[in-house]
Amino acid sequence: MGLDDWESANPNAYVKFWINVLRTLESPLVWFRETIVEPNRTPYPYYHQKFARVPTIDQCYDDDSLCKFEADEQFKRDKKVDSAILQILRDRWSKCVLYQGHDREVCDPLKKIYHDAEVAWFSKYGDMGYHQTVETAYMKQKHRMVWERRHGPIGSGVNPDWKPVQPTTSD
Amino acid sequence: MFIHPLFFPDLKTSSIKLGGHGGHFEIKPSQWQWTKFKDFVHFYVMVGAVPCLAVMFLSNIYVGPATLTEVPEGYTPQHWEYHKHPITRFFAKYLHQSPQEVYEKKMARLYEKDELQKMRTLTMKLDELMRSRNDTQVYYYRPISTTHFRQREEEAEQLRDQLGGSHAP
Repeated sequence: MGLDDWESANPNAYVKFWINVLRTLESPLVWFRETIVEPNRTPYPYYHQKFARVPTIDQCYDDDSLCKFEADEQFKRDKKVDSAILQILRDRWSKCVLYQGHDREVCDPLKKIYHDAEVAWFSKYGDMGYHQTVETAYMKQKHRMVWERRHGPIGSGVNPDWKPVQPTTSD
Repeated sequence: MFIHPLFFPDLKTSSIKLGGHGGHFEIKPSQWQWTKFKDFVHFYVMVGAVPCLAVMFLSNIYVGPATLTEVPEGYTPQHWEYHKHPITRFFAKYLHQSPQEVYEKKMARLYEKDELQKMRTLTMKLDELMRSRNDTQVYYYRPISTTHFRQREEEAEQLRDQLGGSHAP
């Protein structure tokens, strides 16, 4: 929000006075920027790095340690990306709450989006301790799928009707 | 060089020479370390901080940050082209290894270790099989020296030749 926005909002005399004061204060900086900095710069690009997808851990052979290593590195990158997404969603919600103050119910949709994303993040990366590898995540996913087959979606509690399968004894 | 009290009124080497009034040797704690410290501060600011600040200033004014761009089709950027600031790019280009290079080196080391481990497993398996079956002329077959048997056989031969007949062994 620059001074131009204030000026275009038809300000009163007091605000105009302060606009002029600030313009005077920033005029040397503006002059420096426009006459020295900008004519001397040549714009040049930088890029976001894109990583090629490699086979995930479920596609690796058991004795292929290089495939496992690459899957692990990819898992770490994916975790960083997912955490950054979660951070952005949280920031959106908290900035909304900060701005709305007492009307924070306005932000409830953002809150729901954030909480859903948080649950999804935690069901993928949570409860695995600090030293996570892609193999622990894979095993966790397997255990979760077994649990869901027995008890329904996670967070719903244990299914009371479920009984462990007894080993069948032949004759 | 001509030094005379007339031209250098503050220069007093000895009160005796100048007539014996005023200018006594003042006894006070040494200022040497403090003076030396100021010298060092001056020196290192000039040698270290001033060039660093100059480089930072000039690169920020005349080069400035890069602008984020989509990667052009069919172009693989160099690893320093993923950084925004010129000084960071300089460090990435000339001081740091390429992350991809580090990654591939690590994979090569891992490959070697993995091959070694596989060979070791195979060796242990072979070893175990040979130990249990014991049917090959390798580690667990102890060769017998036949030297003495052959000597005994030769001696017996000689004896047979010498004695002959019914006394032969």
